[in-house]
Amino acid sequence: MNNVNFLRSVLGVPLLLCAFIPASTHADEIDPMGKVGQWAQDISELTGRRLNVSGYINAHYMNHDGMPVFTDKNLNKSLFQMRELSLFADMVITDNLLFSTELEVSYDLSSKSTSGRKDRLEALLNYYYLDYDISSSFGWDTDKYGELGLRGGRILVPFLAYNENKPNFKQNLMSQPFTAWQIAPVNTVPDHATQFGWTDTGVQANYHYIFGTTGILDAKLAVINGLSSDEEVFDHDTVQLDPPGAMNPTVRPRSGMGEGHSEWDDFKDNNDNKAFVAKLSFVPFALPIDVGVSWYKGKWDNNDDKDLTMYGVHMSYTKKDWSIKGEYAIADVEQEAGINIVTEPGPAAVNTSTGDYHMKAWYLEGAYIPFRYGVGNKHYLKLIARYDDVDTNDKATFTPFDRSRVTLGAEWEFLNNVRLRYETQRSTIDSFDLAPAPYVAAGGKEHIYMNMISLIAEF
Amino acid sequence: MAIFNIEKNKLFKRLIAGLLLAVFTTNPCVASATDIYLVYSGANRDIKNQIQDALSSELDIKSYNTSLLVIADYSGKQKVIAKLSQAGLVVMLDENSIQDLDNSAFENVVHAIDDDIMSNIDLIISHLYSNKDR
Repeated sequence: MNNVNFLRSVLGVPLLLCAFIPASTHADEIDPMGKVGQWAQDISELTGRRLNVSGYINAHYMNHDGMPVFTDKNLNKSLFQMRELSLFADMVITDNLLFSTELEVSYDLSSKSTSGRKDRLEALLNYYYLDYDISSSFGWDTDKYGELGLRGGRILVPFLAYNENKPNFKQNLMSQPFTAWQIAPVNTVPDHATQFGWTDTGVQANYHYIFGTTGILDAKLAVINGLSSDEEVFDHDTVQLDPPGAMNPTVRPRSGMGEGHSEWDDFKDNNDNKAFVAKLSFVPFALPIDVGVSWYKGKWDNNDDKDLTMYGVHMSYTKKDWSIKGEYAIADVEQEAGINIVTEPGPAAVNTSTGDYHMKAWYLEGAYIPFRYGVGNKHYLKLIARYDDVDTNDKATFTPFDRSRVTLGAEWEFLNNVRLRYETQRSTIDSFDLAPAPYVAAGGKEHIYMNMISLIAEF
Repeated sequence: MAIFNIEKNKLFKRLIAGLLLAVFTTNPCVASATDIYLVYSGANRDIKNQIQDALSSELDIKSYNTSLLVIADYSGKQKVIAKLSQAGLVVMLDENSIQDLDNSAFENVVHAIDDDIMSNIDLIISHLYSNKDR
């Protein structure tokens, strides 16, 4: 880390915290989100409590050190964005039919040369679906037969735990774990948003059964269009490095499953094969644990020929003042060997596909609240630590996304439903000694550091 | 911004306009048939069943276990609140279920969390009658 970045992260956080202390001394009196919540309540009353509106907003300041410089963006410069303004709307149509949607908006306050985004303002409907309660509709004895619901539309894909819990106010850290970035393709903060999170067009059946005093078994089965690519290799994304000198080589970074996303308003499948996703979770009543397994299978190519299979397990143990959670995921990708889709000049040894690959990632995260204060002990300081690892298992000479990462963070809820969060990361690229010379010349280093300060509010 | 592209998103505009129209114009009384929602958490199903059995069989009674929120997606709580709000009476049967729903201010709620089941049943019945008198 260079000296400027080090000073910024060491001195910046206490200075920022000092700025918030005056507000925190009146934390129980100042309630900006309470006012927003009251407006939402007024809307609900106006519609006979049939339209419920809720949401959250967050903004972040982020900077990296050790990333290579690209021709269209320099991620080592500071990035400042309103990352997400999210509005949830749930409309009760009948007692057994509910329509839900989420509008997500993002605004980039950085220069285009920093983020590489085409538009400062991105807005989309992240999901939009109808929920039909079959068991209630047919008057089943739910104690005896369990409950069954059907969801159709643009749905959140039920794979692992993170995707269905991605909002930052539900998570301890802003940065996403590798399992939810490179395996389950939960969209990260947008360079350009095709969707936030991982959603797809399809149908999902959700069944759960309560075993007396033992616990709850929950099963989700979805049929969706699935992840896809129109290219001959699945992870076809390219970047153009900008090392000093005349040559700007184009490199395929092999960043994982994220490129299989469809646009948020794209209903079409690229082939005749639908993807199947299943998730089975169990919540015992005796312990605050949620454990589960997930599975995904579908063809990704235009010719209905190449399989993409993913498996995952998740676990979370949540007490009032501490929690542990983790995920482990594997992706098996079928792919032809020897294809180089990059037509621009670039390192062929890196860009050429190496055939089928078996990518895996995992993370473990712990959080602890050592200090609470205020009316009802609602305000708190939380400490967070996470370890991530991803093994791309691609036989290419070098993939910058084959790495491990340590993240440390702190969160302070200084007003009702308003939090200040700080996190710092150190990533270590495996096999950095095999990095091509242009990657190193463009500023790419073995260790990448990231610091982020964010403000999160929900209502 | 694709969402504001009128040509591309006619379908969404029509869909959302239609649903908003339905929400504002249809009669909520017709939409709602549930008289009572019994809300409990964890392994408290026996308490829920005892109360359900003691109430009139003519009432349309449904139940919800808030422990399901652990495995719900991130807007699951909002959906549950929207659904429960339509019932004639929401009965919270334990402290955990109240906390799980963040003390949501239902207009039509009763906290029946006394250790004595009969006293809870009396409380529910008295609220039912007072609701009918409105």
